[in-house]
Amino acid sequence: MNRKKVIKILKLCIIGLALLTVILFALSLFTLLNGLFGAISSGRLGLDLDKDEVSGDWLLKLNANPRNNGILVERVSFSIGILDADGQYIIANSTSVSIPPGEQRSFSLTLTIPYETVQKYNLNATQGADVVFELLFGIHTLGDLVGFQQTMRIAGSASL
Amino acid sequence: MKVNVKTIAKAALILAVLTILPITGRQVLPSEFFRALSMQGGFDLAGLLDRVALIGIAFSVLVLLRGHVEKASSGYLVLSTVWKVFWLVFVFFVLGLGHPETFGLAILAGNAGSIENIVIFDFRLFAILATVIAVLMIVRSILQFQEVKLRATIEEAPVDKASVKQ
Repeated sequence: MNRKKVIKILKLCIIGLALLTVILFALSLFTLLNGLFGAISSGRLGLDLDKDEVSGDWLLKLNANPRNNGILVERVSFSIGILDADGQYIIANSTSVSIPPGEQRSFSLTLTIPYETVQKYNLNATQGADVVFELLFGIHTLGDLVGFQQTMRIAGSASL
Repeated sequence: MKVNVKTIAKAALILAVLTILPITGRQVLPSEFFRALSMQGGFDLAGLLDRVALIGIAFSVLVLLRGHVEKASSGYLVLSTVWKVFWLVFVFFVLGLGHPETFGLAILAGNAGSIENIVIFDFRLFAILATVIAVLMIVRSILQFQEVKLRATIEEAPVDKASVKQ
């Protein structure tokens, strides 16, 4: 092929790719920010702790009702976990939900902490338990290629 | 040496946006703001602005050098390639919020008492797209250089013949 033609085609490809990058960046950023506000705004996220009277297990329940205000499909993910002093997971559970643009999805995530674990790590105490409570929240879009993830770790949080 | 006004204007604009603006911003913003951002968000904005200012100087120097080199010279090709690689590193720098080594992952981590907060922005798709664009731009520069050199050789050829006749 003529070299001049190749140069011209390359120029068009570069312009096209640059435009695509800018458009995708703007769209994904818009979706991520709207998704973030849609997920954490008042009344859309709640964390409750219950105790099973029969077995003595602890039930940590996360209720979420996120809304996708963006223009791309987004995947919202949540994870709850408890880590020991060495940073190893004692128990963890996670879930994710895909939300089309303009829609809202309700889901809940339950972390069952067995009674033996509650006793072993002294989780009944109000303070001083040598564990870390971890809450992970993530929003991804464009087939999980672009995303935002927040991990919150609270040390010594026995009084969940 | 011929003064290239367009190149000087381009270099001055880059210097104003990437060097003077961050330095001014660093002086105008209160130090408490930087301290709070650093402690709670784990984000060293002052350091980031300093590095952006340095990048601005390097960018301007590159633009000035490139603008004063003959397009048919191999020096132009080298400078053009260095400029594109530098541009790519700058994109990684922006996407990684001052950390180009993360290739598009911006990580912010802060502590407040017993609470640790880690925020990660995953922009690796754009880092990949920027790499593809940079590679295509370098390939195009090489082809353009070959084309310019070929044209220069053709244009020089009749002159040589004429000088031989004399």
